[in-house]
Amino acid sequence: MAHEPFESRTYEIEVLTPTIIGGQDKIQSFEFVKDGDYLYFINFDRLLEENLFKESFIDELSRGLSTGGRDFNIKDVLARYNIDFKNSSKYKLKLEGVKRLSKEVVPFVKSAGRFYIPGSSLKGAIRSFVTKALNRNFIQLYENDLSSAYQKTLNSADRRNSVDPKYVSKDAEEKIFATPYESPFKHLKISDSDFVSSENAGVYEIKVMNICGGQVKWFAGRSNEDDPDRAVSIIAEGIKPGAKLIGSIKIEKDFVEGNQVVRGIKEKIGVNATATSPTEFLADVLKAVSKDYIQREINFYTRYKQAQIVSEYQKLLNVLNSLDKNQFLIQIGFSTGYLSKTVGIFFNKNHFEKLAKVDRQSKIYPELFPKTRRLVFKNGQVWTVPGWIKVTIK
Amino acid sequence: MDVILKGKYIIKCKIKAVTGLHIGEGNNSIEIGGIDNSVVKDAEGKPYIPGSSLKGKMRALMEFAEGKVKDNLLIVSVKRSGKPEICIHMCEDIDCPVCGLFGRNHGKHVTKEEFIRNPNAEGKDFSDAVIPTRLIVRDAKLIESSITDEMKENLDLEWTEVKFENNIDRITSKANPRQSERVPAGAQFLAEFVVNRYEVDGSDDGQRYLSKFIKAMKLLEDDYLGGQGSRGNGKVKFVDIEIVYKDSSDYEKDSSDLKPIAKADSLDQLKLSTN
Ligand SMILES: [Zn+2]
Repeated sequence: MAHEPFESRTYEIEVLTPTIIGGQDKIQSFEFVKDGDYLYFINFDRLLEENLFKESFIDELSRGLSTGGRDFNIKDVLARYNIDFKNSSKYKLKLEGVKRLSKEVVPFVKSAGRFYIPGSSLKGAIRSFVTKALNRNFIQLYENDLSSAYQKTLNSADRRNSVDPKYVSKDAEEKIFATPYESPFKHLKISDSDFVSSENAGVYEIKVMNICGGQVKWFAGRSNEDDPDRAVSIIAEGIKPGAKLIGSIKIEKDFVEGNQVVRGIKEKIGVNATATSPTEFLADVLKAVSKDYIQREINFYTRYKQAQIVSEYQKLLNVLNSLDKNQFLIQIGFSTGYLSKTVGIFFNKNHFEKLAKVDRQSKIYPELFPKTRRLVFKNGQVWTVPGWIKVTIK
Repeated sequence: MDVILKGKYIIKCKIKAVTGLHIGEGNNSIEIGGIDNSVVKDAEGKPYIPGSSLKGKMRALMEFAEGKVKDNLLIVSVKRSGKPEICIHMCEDIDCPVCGLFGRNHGKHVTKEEFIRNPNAEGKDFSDAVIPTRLIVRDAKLIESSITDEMKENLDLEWTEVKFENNIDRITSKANPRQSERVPAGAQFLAEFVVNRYEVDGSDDGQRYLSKFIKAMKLLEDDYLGGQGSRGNGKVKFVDIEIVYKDSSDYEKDSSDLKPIAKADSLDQLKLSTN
């Protein structure tokens, strides 16, 4: 039997651009108070406990909350009762150049209130990037799935018989990576990261860039605007660039080489990866995918004259080119877009015409898809792309 | 075979969840609140780590580490539609560290190798090698104070949180969310293990199986406990370890002043005195 090291190794994530791993329920406007450059997130349990005897306050609070928070300004109510919101908050986050707050904030995933990066998110991102490194024959399987879903949709007069957009690639996934019990990904184990303090997190403003008639516009609800100030803002909690998180990782030989039960990823990969150690092999694969992806995005943003984003990607490319053998870049989390999560990077107009029929909920323009991008703004200006991290395996 | 109980090593420690811990109920029961993937809880509704989960995981890790995962050393424990679905190691080697520590079962066992040749093979009885199991693993109870008030304020349920995960379709990018309940990182459990020391046909175990058990603890720290381990859950660490040896003669005396033979904050600091 091949010798397998049992020890797990340490991974270190360095956040390069604001990274948002979305938690479940949105944080509503009555749950936070803005004060200067900070948002304070109210702890209602403590607020109620400490003010239990102020009956009219409790009444006013419950009335406000029962209307869903509309026309209810928690800051004013607290001020009227002389309650310091700073003493009744769970945590505060700095507003990172946020010009306009919206009614809700996308929360970062937390464990018992603490910020961290789930192993499942990092592993999911790695899986999505490995998928983009597959050789042509395997990518073809995804194209086949898309065609068959398209055919089924055409043939079924009744919508209920068409393919659920959540499971279009099911067959391809099973043919390539087998069942969860036999998958090579069983041999890639990634723990949750440790926790970072809320000083390492902040609140970010995101806007949606939309290409309309070859021009950059900004999504503003019903219309697309030339002026980004008029665009809709998505407000989200994210981890700041520069923050570091660590956890443990095991990249077993079988993940790369395979065994009696499972074929490893090595024989499925179409990009040039030559390293022999599992860690370096995976890093090679991910670097090749990131490089291709970044290059395509640089071309896209150059075409639409987004110099700031081009320079941000150029910086990422410089980091990528200077990485060690045990390091890679990857994009992770919320607002990272269709291309980062799918094999759509290999699709053309024909594919997107089919996709438009299969996925009726999304607006798909086969001539140019995806034609939107979510970008992080700072002080009203385009700043950067979300979710890029550098991973070092030690 | 003559087996004499020489004494017991009692290992007391805490198991710390370094990342969220999901030890599922292993059935499809749906809890109030609709969490479809809940964790095991005791009669008081507090999560705990069943001794059987700990023992099973440690056995599996030891099988690998001792080179016992081979078709001729695995027996078919569960078969389904003519296939060996679950295999575990069991053998008749009297000195086998895995069987010696974790035990053998009575009855007939078919090795995987035999099964592949002939799914109806009758198998072999290891009864000649069966001696009482040396390792006893108690259920590990939650140390309530390890889930601080501050953590509790932020939990979805009294002692646990709900974690959401997405599967993303690689063609449409549509997400398919799943949820599961887990004990938050930082929670600690009170654990106790007993390793029996035997004299088998005149040969004394000494500290052999205690050392093997400590090896199993170390293997577990570098792996995971419970579900969704390859995606982040279940990293654990043994802390505040104390090992007491009770000689069989000690059971006739007042044993209140027994001194621990080893004491350490963590496994990498643990040193066994040799006597
Ligand atoms: Zn054995």
